[in-house]
Amino acid sequence: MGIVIRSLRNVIRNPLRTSLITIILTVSIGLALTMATVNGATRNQLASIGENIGTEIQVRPAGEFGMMGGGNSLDEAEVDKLSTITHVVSVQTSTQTMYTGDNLETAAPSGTVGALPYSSSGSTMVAPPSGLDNQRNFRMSIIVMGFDPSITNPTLMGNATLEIAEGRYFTTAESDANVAVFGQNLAEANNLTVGSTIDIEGTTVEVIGIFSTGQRFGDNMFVMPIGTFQRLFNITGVTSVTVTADDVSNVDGVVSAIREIFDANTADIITAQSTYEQIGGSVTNASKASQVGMLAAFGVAAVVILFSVALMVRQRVKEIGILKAIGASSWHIGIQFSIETLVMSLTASIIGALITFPLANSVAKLLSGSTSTVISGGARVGGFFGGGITRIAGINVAVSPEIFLYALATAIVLSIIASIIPAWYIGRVKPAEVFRYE
Amino acid sequence: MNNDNNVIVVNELVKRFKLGATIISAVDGVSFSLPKGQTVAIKGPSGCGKTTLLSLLGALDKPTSGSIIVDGIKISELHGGKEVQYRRQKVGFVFQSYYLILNLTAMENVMLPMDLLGIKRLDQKTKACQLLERVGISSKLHSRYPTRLSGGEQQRVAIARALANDPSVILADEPTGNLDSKTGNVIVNLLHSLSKEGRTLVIATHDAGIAAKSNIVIEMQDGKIANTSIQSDN
Repeated sequence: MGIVIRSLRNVIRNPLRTSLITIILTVSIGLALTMATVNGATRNQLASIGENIGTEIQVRPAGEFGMMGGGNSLDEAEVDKLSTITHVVSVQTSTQTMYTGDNLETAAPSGTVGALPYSSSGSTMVAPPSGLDNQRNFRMSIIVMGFDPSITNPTLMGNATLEIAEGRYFTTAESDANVAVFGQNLAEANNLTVGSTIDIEGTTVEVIGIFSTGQRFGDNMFVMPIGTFQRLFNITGVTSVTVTADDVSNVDGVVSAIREIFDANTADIITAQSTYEQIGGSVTNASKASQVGMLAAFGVAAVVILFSVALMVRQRVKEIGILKAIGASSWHIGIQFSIETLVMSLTASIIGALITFPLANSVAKLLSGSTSTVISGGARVGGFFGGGITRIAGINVAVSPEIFLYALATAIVLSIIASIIPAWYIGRVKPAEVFRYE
Repeated sequence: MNNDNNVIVVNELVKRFKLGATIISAVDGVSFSLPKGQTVAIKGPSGCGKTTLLSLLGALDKPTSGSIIVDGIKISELHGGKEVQYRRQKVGFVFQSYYLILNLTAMENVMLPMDLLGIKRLDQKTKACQLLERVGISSKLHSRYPTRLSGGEQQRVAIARALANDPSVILADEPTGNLDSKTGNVIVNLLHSLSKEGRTLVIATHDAGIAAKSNIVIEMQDGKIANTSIQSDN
């Protein structure tokens, strides 16, 4: 009968002791793993927010605000320099204007929201029809945007995402071609389909695709290659640049470098730092709380395990004395007790890992306040009013194989630590004293 | 008793304990020699030092001074795990409270000392069966846990375990203390039969009946030897 078999039998033959210790270990290890899981999830979430939101920097003509302000377009040669800045991973240029031609019918529904008291002092908004009250029957104009054809997933004004419903998007070979992709509602309002042609600023333009954004505002647009846009609307430069840094921590450095290219009189630079801090605040708090909780839980788990093992060893001091009397060495007995501890810790860790998922999810929600305070990946800043957030979701806590590895690693580490107690205690047990006081 | 046949030689053995501010001499200048294959009873009242002397002979404790030689090994100077080896190979213990491992069956308890010696499992089983049969434990009790055995049966299993490593010396501390007189007699006879195989049996007892059956009786009083008698008719 080997030492391993004897150890395993000892575990099995004392179901009450084994169950009690395993339950205690399960609770403490499960709690520690829960906090570790939540901490990992919040860290990932923060990284995701940082990656999707915090790294973007908007560069716009100074004084320009959507299409309501003034300012001069940014010089393309200067814009090209942005991509050479260290830590810049992408530069997305676009330009937009309101389409004032009378051959297209706007698809936006009429209403009073957003209507301005009309005056003729330079507003670019469409004037209310003559004879009507200024506050009624306001309709948003059609927006036309120009994009670099190399950008295949452009973000439209208002954070709308362009998804081709019919036809296709323009290619890099069509950087100056007379082609356009229309929003679905706009196309329907004007009976346009893929292959249709339409006169834009005196040039015949072919509709090569129809896109859908899922919103009326987004679908009331059409997009063109930036070269075509500039030529047809006689606009030089770009009106919006989105620079993406490789990491949130490098945003400030990139902003400084951009400022060397565009001074304050030329461009406004808007970072997502405050947005990131605002959005990530609750997640950061949850992350900090879970980190403290994790450390505390691991500490408690370690204390509980050490205490349980110490108690178990003390209760079995007579057995240790007997084993020593019949010729077992302290090392031999220590190994036996360590195996028993390891088996119980492993069992507790696996059970702990299994209960971690539902517990971790609940704790994550509790720590983050509510799911609506957290922004998921994919949200973008910029857009029409420079900072819209579109998609909101909760912290995503999932039990992955890593959790089980955590569990096993935790069990092994804690068992090794816990096995120091039997090893130390067994070495001190003197059989003669044990028998004398029994 | 001094001759080459002596398996145990004890010389000026002293063991003192500190109890608070008081120092107690449990064994105080004890000297004796015991020949091989004899039954020796260490007799005396409770607290006279019998159990301490047995612990010193079994290397369960270290003497304060003096020397003990068992089977040619100076055990009073053993250290660094050598005393473990000594207990594993040379000595078999029988205790008043049996001290069987409760998580192991009768058979497994007997196999345990052989396991520590690295004997093959099959050989362990065969020998354990033989030893259990020899001490009167039937095969149907082999797989029973100690808690399901009577006191007499547990002590028989303990004797079988003491024999498992084929020791030259068996140290028994009040082996009948927890048994009724009838069962006690059976156990004493069983122990005495072991000395006929050439083993030296040292029994600590305050039972005059056990002492009467021994070859040598050492009477202790306050940690010292009060009297030694050799009973040639046993």
